Amino acid sequence: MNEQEFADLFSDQIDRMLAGESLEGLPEIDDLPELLDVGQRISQTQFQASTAAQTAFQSSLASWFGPMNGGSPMTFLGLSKIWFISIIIVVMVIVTGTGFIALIATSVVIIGSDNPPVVGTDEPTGTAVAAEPGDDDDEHQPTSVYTSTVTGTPVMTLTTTPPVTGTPTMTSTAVSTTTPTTPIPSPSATPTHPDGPGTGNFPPIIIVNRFPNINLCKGAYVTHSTLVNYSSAPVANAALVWEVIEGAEFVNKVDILSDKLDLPPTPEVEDIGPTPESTIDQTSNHPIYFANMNPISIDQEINLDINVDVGDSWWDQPDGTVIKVRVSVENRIEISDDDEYWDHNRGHGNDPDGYDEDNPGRGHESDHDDDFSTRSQIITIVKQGAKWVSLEGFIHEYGEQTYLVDGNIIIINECTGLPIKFIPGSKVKIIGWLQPDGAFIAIKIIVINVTIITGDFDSGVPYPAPDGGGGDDDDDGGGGGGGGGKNKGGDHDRGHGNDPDHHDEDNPGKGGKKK
Amino acid sequence: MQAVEIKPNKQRHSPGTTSNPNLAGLFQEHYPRIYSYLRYRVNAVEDAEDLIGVVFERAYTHRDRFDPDKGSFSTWLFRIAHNTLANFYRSHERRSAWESESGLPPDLVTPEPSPESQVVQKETLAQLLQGIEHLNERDQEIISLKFAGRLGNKEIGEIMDLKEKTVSVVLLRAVRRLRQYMIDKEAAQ
Repeated sequence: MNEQEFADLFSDQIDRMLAGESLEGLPEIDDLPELLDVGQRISQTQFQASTAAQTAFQSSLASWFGPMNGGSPMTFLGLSKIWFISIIIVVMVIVTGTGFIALIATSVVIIGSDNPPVVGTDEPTGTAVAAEPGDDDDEHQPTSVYTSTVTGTPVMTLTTTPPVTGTPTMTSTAVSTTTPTTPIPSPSATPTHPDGPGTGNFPPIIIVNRFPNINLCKGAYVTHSTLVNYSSAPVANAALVWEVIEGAEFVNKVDILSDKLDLPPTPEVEDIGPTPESTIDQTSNHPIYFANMNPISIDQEINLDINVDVGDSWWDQPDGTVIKVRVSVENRIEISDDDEYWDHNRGHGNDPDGYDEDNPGRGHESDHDDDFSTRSQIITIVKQGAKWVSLEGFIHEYGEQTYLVDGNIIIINECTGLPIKFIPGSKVKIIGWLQPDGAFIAIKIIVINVTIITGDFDSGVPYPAPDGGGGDDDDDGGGGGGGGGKNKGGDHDRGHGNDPDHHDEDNPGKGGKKK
Repeated sequence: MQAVEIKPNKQRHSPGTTSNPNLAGLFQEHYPRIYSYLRYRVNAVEDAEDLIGVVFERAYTHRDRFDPDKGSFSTWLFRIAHNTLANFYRSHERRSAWESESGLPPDLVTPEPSPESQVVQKETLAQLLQGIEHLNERDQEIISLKFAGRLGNKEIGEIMDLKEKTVSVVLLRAVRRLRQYMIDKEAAQ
């Protein structure tokens, strides 16, 4: 009997043992009885979670699935819930009835007696009920920590501008749509709430984004994520499941490397697992540049289209660790004064083809020869537990770079190109991912500026001044190039959601001419 | 230059409180085994209790991703536990050894022996736990999945990315090493 056969026999016996079967009459092959004895001892070594942990688990189940969680029925003092409640009701009736009778009897005695009552305050009714077990516990149940609504928030509504009596009112609405799509900075560049995240009465929402025509703060943005895939056997093609991703937006290099490469192979696993042919070339140690990474999330599985070298020495290290295929995602982006040639809008979500040849950056004819093209790749990292959030409401200033929308504090990156001052009555709709840590990745921000005009419209309905009159034309993206008549900043709004034809001829920048 | 292929999920989970008594029952059914498995791998009760909360939370969050065509519910759940442990080890130093010198772990469940055999059993179990602690990572994992998780070799293979045949060999060797450790320990005493 070779080792494999012996191992199979051993496993079969262990399975029988774990199933509660008797192992009598086994052939005494080698050290099989002794090994099974060890196995039996291990199988008897079980652990049980504490009552507190089990209670917490039951509580979680109740919150997830509701009280009817399919488990064993809840009991109180060994009684089922129905019996317990029934007994409580009976006791209440008896006690209340007794008290009521006693009260009537006392009243009769008092009325029928010439002597004043001595004591009449000992009223038993209801005391037994108040002392029932469980009431105290109910009072100490943990409650939700966060309150996402703010009472007394100075929300401005359109009704605050009453029309003059007998005068028609016109409301014109300008819609601005911006798709930042780009969660950007490294943690150092991420705006933070002055009080720190989560310290307020409601969770702060941080918008991390970049608008097409706004430069980032100068500096280097570096993020580095290391993803580790644990396994125990060589494989030819490693499908790496990205489990943990920290930050990281721009990917320009993907490495596969191992810090265990120099360790000698472990002899004891030479005859286990796949054949030596599974060892492939060492190219996996080379960096892979220009990874084509579309927006990913941890919910997605990323298969590396390469043969990952998994030399045996990787798999079973002398220190007992198993193979670690490490994928490093390095992101570095340098922002300086010279970065005006960047096409920041490239590859943004609403650009259906992913290329911006129709939307070159400043000074570019096309982006195809752009040396910085890899920087334009965008990855939106959505962490585990992130929620899809849509906020809509009037926006109010709430401090420096801070706004209040729909009862939520929104902190704007100082380098984000939102209007410095929202006109009164501006309404915004923000769609994005709310991360577990309270950070918010804005996918789309729609700014709706509402202008209310009141007056005597008997001679016709007036329209806003067509050019340069409003100062609230935020939807053309041309703020940077205004005055020259040339849309120098590019058609920043092009292709965005609310521009149905993907052209802005009908929506020129301030001071620009209609094409 | 190599490309990275990204396969988006076929479906995303929809967070919320959907009532699913079957899933709740499955969670309850697996809770003791998952806990025992985690406890085999971490030396502190608190860590195990923290981890099991994470495991079931992840399982609940990603419940829509369970595909019975790809494996059993046990495999899926233990895989989550396995990955949760891996994440835990990345951020935590392993503790040196079971603190069994001063007694058995408080959450250890043992059959009730006679008083005279309690002392012997206590020593044996302490040695056993220390022995498991001294095994390498993979041996610990396979023993934990087998004896605490009570999984079949096929399921263990799916969790650890091993062939079923390989699992039996690795398990055999792990138990052999454990036995040898205990023999050496007794001899040293």
